[in-house]
Amino acid sequence: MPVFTQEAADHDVIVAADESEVFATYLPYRTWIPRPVAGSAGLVPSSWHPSHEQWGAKQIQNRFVKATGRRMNSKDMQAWTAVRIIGEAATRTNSGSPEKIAAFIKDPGFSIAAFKGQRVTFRPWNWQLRQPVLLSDARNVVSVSPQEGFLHQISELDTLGIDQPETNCKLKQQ
Amino acid sequence: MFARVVIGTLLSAALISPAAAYSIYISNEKDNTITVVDSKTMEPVKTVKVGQRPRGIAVTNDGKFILVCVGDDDTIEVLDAATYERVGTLPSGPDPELQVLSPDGTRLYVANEDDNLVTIIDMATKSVAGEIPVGVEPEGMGISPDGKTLVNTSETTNMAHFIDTATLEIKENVLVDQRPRFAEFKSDNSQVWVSSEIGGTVSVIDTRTFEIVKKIAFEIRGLRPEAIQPVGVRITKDGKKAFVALGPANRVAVIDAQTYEVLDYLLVGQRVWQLGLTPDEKLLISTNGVSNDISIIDVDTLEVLKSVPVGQLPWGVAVSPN
Repeated sequence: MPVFTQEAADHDVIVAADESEVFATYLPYRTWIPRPVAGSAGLVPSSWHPSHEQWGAKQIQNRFVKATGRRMNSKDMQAWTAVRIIGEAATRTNSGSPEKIAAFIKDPGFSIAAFKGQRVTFRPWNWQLRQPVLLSDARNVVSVSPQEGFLHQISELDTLGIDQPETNCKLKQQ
Repeated sequence: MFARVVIGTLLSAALISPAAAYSIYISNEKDNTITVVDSKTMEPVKTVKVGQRPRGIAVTNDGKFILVCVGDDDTIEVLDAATYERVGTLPSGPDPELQVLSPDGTRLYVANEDDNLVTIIDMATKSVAGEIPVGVEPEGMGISPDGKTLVNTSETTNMAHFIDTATLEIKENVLVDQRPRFAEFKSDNSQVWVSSEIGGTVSVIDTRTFEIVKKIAFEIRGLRPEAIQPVGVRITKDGKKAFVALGPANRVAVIDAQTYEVLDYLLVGQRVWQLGLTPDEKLLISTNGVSNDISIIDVDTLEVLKSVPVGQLPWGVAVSPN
């Protein structure tokens, strides 16, 4: 890795895009010049982290450990959020009807609390869940994005990921 | 005779003083301390070491004891208000977060955030008088002025639970917006106001019908709606003015408690959570968690008079009765 990064142009940080974890984990501490690594290694973005405690997260972490005997990871949180969305719609509509629940979830005003410091909502153009992203190293949450100062006309959470004007993709309407 | 003269002088001094001097007690969640601030000089007078993660704080009706929920120690500490010595603990159950005393001072109701319980403590015997299972992550605790109804809010179930304090049973559950944090009764018992931190609203609930008669929303120019996160609520005894702390919006909303109109937004410190009124209702105190200070607000003129630095992550506020 030192030799591999030796010829790189001058830089402040190395960002690795390596979702399958083929090379990224070999980057930290092995770069030719001492620079931080982010992305697939080093400072990693994720939807959850076992050390996340802010905004009441400590409570759900405690409940999860008590229930399962292990700490909560991103996949666990995504499953919890999905079930929570349906539960929220069922309690608010006071109904078990899938049509009513789906209609409630697709309402532009729909939002839920997910221990991330602000309500999370859906992007109506592709039904992605808008949510803050945790930036963590192996042991601790370092920061939560969007970072202060990134502004957006609809939601600051839309400064994360690919936004509607930046893509030609269209979700097939059902 | 000398004593009589001294007392006479003290009495006349008290009569001409423009504002009474109360002790303001602030719990600092992160550095495990209580800061005592004098309401008259608006200066910190003492920092007291307490247990781990102090949050909910209250003073007994006689002003003699300060009760502090120290969540990470799974207990409530009792401090002597004169010496600040720890004189005992109360069996709160695990992770106590917020507490409220019954108006007659005989019972303490505690929200156990991790155990989905409200614990009732008998203050005379200092023992547990009962436990009430409630929703997930109980937090807000409001007691009706007649002491007959306790309202507990559960942050993740999104409900205000109305509990009959005689039978210790839930008589009604009212679904409110996401993450309800605080419940405050009007002094005439007619309504309870419940703040929803993530929902961004305050639900005004009729205590007879359990209907939400009004959902108060907030709008601040230049601020994204997600930053408006209502937590602490205080309503003056005359039922005319209400104050709502708006979290990372760094403001306290002033509301006409009769028309529900938001009259003003007062800029305070960063991440404002809890509020407390002095007993004469001349001053409102806000705890500002991120800026590590409190703001003192004049209730009549709605002027933010002073920011007073306290400990790290100031959370709760209680004021001595005299």
